[in-house]
Amino acid sequence: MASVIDFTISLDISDILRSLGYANAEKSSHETMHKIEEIENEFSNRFQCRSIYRIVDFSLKNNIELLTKTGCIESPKIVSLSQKAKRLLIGLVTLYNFDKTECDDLLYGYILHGIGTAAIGKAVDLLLNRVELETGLHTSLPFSPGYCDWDMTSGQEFILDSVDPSVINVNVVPQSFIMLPVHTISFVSLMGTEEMDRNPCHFCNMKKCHTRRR
Amino acid sequence: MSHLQELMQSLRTFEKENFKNCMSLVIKNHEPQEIIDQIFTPGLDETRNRYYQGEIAIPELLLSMQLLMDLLSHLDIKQVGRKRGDNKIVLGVIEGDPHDLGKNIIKRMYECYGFQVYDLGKNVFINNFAEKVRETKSDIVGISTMMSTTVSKVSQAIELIKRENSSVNVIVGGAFITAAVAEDIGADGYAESAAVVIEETDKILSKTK
Repeated sequence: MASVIDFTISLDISDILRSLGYANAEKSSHETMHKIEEIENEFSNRFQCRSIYRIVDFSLKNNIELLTKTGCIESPKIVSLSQKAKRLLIGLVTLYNFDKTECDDLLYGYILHGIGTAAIGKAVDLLLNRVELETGLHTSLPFSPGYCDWDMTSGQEFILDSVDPSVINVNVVPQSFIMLPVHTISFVSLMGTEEMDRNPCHFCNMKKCHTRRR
Repeated sequence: MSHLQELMQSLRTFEKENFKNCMSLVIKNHEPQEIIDQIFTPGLDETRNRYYQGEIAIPELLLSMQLLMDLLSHLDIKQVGRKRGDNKIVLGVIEGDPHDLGKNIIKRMYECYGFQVYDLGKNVFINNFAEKVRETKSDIVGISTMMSTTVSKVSQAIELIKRENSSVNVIVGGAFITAAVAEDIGADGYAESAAVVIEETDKILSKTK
C-alpha cells in the first residue's frame, strides 16, 4: 500500500545558492540576493511538498533487470547497486502552489527554478531520512528515469504503475511523461542494511560541473 | 570618471539602478555606435569571460545580459553595426526532454550577439527542427538535452536535418553530451556551456564560408 506524506520545507540561503550554482568562489550580487529574498518572502520561506511512496520487494533477473510485482527496471547501474539492497522504494514528490506562468525575466525565472529545485531536493532527502528511521534500513541515492542508463519512458511507466500520481495531484502528459507541477520528482531508492553512497556526483561524469560536490 | 566608464563599472559590479541611471546619460551624450563599441560588445565579452573563468555564476551572467539587452533596446539599431545580423539559428530541446533552462540561457546569449533566433521550445519533435530550418532558411541548428536517454533522438534529428539540407550546421549541448558524443552523433559542433557557445558557433560558420 502506498503512503502519502506532506512536508513543509524551509530553505537555508546556502541550499539556494548551491542550487543556483554558487558552488565555488563566485559571490552573489546584491541584485541576485534581492531577488532570492523577494521569492522567499512571497512564500514566507515555507514550500509545500507532497509525497507518495511504496516500498516493495524485488528480485534480479540475469543481473540486468530488477523485477517487482508491478514491472521491471532495466538499468545496469541500478542493478549493480541493488546487490547490497533488500527492498526498493518507489516515490513521487511534488512541490505545489509554486509554479508560475512563464515570465520574460530570465533571472527571476532561473532563481525561482533554483529555489524550487532546492526545495524538492530537500523534500526527497526528508522522505528518505524518514523512511530510514521507520524501517531501520539505509537508502541509496534517488534515481530518476532518464538519468544514468535508465530509459525515461519505461522508467516513468514503471514508477507511475506503482504509485498513483493523481493521489498527490500530479498530472502526467501522455507520450512525453512530463509531470505537472514542473517541480515533481519521480524516483526509486534502493534500501539495504549497509550504508549506501548518497553523493550524486560519484555517479556523474561531468567533472567540470559548477555544482560538483567535493 | 566618464559616463561611459561609470556605465561599464556598474555593469562589472551588477549595480542595476546605477547602470540604468548612467545609461540615460550615456544615451543622451553618445552616438549609438560608440555605445556598442565601448560598452555593449566589450561588456558582453568580458562578462562571458568572467563566467568562463568561474569568477561569476549564472545569475550574474543573466543579469549582465539583461542590462546589456536593455541598453541595446534603447539604441536605434538601424544606426549600429551588428556583427552577425544575418545569421539565423533554430534552437530547441529534443523530444522527450522538458529541461529548457540551459537552452533559454543559450538563446539569450545568441540574441545578445545579434543572431536571429527561432526558439522551438522544449520537447521538440525531431522533424520540427528540419521543418523550421526549411521555413526560415536558417544557417545553424542548436539542439540541447539534459538526459542521457534522449541523445539518440538528437542523433535522429541531426540525420533528418542533414538529409534535407547538408549545408546546415548543427551544434549540440547538454549534460550528457561531450565533444566525442557530439562527433559520434554527427553534429558539427559542441558547446560545453553558454560561455563558449559563440566561439563554437563562429568556428563552425567560418568553416562553411
